[in-house]
Amino acid sequence: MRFSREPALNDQLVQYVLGLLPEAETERLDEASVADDALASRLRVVEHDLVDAYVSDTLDRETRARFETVYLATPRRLEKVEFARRFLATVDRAAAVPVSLPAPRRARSLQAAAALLLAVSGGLLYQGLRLHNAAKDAERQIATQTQRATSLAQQLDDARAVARDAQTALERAAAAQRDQRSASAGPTAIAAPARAAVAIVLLPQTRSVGPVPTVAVPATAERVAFQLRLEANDFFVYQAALKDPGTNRIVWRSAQLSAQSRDAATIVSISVPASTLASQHYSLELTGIHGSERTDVVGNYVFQVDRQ
Amino acid sequence: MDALTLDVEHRKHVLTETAFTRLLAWLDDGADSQGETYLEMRRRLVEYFDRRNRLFADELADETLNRIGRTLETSGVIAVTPPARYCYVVARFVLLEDIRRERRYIHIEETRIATGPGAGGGADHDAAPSSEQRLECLDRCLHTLKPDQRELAVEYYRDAKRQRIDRRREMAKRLGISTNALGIRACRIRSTLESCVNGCCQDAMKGFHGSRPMTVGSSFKVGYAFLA
Repeated sequence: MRFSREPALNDQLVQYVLGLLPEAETERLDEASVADDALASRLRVVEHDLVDAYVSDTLDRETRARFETVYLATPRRLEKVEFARRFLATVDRAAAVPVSLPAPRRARSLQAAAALLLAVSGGLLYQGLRLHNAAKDAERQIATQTQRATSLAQQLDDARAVARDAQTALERAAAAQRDQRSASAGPTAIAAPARAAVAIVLLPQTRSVGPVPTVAVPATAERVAFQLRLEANDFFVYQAALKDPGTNRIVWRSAQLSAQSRDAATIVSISVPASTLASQHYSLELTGIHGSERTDVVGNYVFQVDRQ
Repeated sequence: MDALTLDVEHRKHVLTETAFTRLLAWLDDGADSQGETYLEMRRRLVEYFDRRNRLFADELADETLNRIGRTLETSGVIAVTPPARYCYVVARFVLLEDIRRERRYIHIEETRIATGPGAGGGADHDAAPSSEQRLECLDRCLHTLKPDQRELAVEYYRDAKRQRIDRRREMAKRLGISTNALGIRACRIRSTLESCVNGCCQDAMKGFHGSRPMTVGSSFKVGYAFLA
């Protein structure tokens, strides 16, 4: 079977699942499968595709034999294959009848009785359901709006802080220039250090090797603003974590943020306190949060800081 | 690191509320995931032990997290970061101990479990749900998905034999995301369905036939390790 993207990594993961890698490589992937969010997700995708290929009989003979001797060695994985069989049959059935998925069997057997019941009390039930659903929708909308409002307020505060810093920096630079002009006959004046606000746009890290962007941070800067570009805006809310790649420790975490569209791109803006940044590499890990549901890492942004 | 080599047999299922709370906070590493990080880590550990052909992958995953919880309870802090890496370190010790123990003892229960293809890790295999029950659970779980999630799953996984790659590429383009992101999204829905079906089947075996609402990311197993 073939995969549409990053075939080398996917092939390696297939080999890993089928126990074909050397022990050292297996242990490396064992660790990554637990400790690396991106690889753990990718591994599940690859495993599902492999199981589906087995179920739909599209594996070559050698891979199929390996799958049967190695993969089907535990009850849990046997169950995964059984689930895939049922799942694929169900989605194929659903795809063939796109109107709706088949109703649960027990429910189907009760459909006639339910229809009669509904006909009798239909009006009242319908109104009740409508009111109930409307109330639920309203609750959901309020929760979402509240979350967004909090997030936007935080972004506004951050933006104000950056603007304030920039304004101060401009004023000081102008003052320094004036001082320099007036003292041109005497010894060189030392310009007042600028409380500069630094801003930079970062793109998500890809596998291709490219230069790591460098952020020059003046000694007196109070905050550094980043605009993180997204591949897609899949979540209502995002959160960024600044990591020291040397120790993999999180040194700073943003509030919850919303993405914005700007110049045909989707971005998340954050403002990092300059005091947390030293001259070294950092990575910003952006996580998407969808209500109370689980979170996902949506991008990593690597950059170098150069303190001045 | 002294908690790494505790005896699994004698210490399993012992985790106080304090230890469990500290474990959740430590795994969250400053954020509040409402237990999601714990559940995700447990899933990863179960899959790790299962890939290493351990029949009691669920128990070993719980033992791993319980040990970490006890360490957090007694020492208050774990210096190794990130938490996920430390989880792997402990899991590796648990694995090696389990392999050693397997060499010393004959697992009577394992032979019983190994013969049942319907076994799903930790379920009561003498009373495995029927194929009909599983299909009914799958139908029910599919209906509890949000419509857009259901459509995505059907579109992504349907028709495994033909034009799957092209269709997925088109889907990703239509949604404005990479095929990788699409795959992860579909995979998450499928994993949730799988968990839902397992939970539904277990409920069915207990004679529970009510439906329970579900969204992607929800789980029925929060607090599973809290057994004190």
